[in-house]
Amino acid sequence: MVVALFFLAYPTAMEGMSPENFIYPFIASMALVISIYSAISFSDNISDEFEKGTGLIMLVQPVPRTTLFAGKFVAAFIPGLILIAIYYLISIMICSSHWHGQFPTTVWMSMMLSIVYLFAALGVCGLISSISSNSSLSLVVSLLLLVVSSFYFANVNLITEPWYVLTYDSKILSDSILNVQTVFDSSMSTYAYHPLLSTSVMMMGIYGTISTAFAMVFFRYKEI
Amino acid sequence: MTFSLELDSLTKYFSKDKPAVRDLSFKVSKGEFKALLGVNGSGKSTTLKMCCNLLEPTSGKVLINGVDVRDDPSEALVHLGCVIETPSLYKDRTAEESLRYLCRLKGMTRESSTSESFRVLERVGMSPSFNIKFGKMSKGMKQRVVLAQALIGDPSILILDEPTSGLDPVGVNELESVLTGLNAEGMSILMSSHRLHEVERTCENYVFIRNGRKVSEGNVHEKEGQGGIVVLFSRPLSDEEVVRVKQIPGIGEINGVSATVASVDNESREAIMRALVLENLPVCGMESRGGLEAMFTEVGDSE
Repeated sequence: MVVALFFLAYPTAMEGMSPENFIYPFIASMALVISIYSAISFSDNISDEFEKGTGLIMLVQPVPRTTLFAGKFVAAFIPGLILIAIYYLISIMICSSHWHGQFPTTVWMSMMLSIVYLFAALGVCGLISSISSNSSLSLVVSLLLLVVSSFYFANVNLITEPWYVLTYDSKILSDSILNVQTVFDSSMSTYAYHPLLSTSVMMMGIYGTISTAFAMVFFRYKEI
Repeated sequence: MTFSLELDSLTKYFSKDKPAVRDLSFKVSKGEFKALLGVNGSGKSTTLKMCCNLLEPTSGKVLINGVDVRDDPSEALVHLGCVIETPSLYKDRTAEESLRYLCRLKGMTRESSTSESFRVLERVGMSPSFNIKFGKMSKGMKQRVVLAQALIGDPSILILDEPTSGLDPVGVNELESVLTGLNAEGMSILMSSHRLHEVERTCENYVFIRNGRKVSEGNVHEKEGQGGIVVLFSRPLSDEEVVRVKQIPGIGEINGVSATVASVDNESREAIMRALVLENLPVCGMESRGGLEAMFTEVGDSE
């Protein structure tokens, strides 16, 4: 919204810009929004049950624990989808209002990638929440892993590409708008890295699948 | 005979060397009101948690209406209502909202969830229109709502872990009358409690465990009067007073502010009281001690 107001106040700032360049700053913060949403909505969801005594009622219901976990996951995933949809819709509306109905078609790809990242981020938060019995601790660890680490990996100099880091892979959400993918060479050593689309999708999928599966197993066998 | 609850050689180890529950077996038959007794740390809560599938036994099994709670928890738990330790509902929801949600988890339709949540709230003496969020309720109200959730679906067995802890005497009486009413309607109840008078008032049978092992099982009322008579003093006796008390015929052991009376006939008791008063000792009364209390004391002394 701040960026949109800036462009409205200074229309000349848009001169020479393409729709892709215009929408990029809006989408650039999408990964951070998803990370914060996931940490707040899901990282204490399971540990809370064990910490505050609600689990003593919920876990004695005649419902398999895997179903309970799936219900919690879906209950966090659906509002996340709505958040993503609203975010992209606003971005598209602002962009098309300035570009006479035009907006970059790469935004759809970015939106799909955001959904994959939401799956991965919720999976990681779910795993932390299942392992921990302290909701404050799981919230802090989730924020450290998903939010603080994204700033770290965006700014630190690295000798090799950190393709295995989820928050680094999440850069693809905005990079896909401009279709920026770095072709690596040995001289690169800084934050100039941009993840490859295939690698990012694969890593986000792996993070999401494995962490969700492990979270479900931990929840299934956790004793209270 | 069919049993509502069967514990078969139940064992639970939290660490390798010391089991919390050891080879524990007992049954709760249909319509029975049984108390699970034991001092703190004897394994009562661990046992009840295993019955509710909150803990996995190291060995042994729990059957609810003949269904193994580990093999088929969904089928076994549908017959069970429980209140373990200090459970909580979601703090930002009203009692009725939480109960409707739990009804839905038990597979009820939206319409029947509403009527069932009303029914269980009324059963524990609460108005369904009661519109306070759980987080803002008093302890007594919370306890009632928590009991109400255990009654959803009219379970055949109720497992309660010290349900009256923290309640005032009025709350205890109300809860007791609800529980005895449910039991009279045919519901089986297994309840752990430290309040022995409450157990003697409400329960039919008991299981006494110590260090996770069953040490005694039987009828609560058969224990009545087996604890003997004790003389109570208003303060601890001095050494000189202890010597004088011991000289009175019929006085047994002296323990802190009480002394056991060996003979139980009325004449002997009157004679003992007269002697204590004549000796100018700080006697303030004489009471009959329940059998359960005596059992607790014996276990406490031997530990």
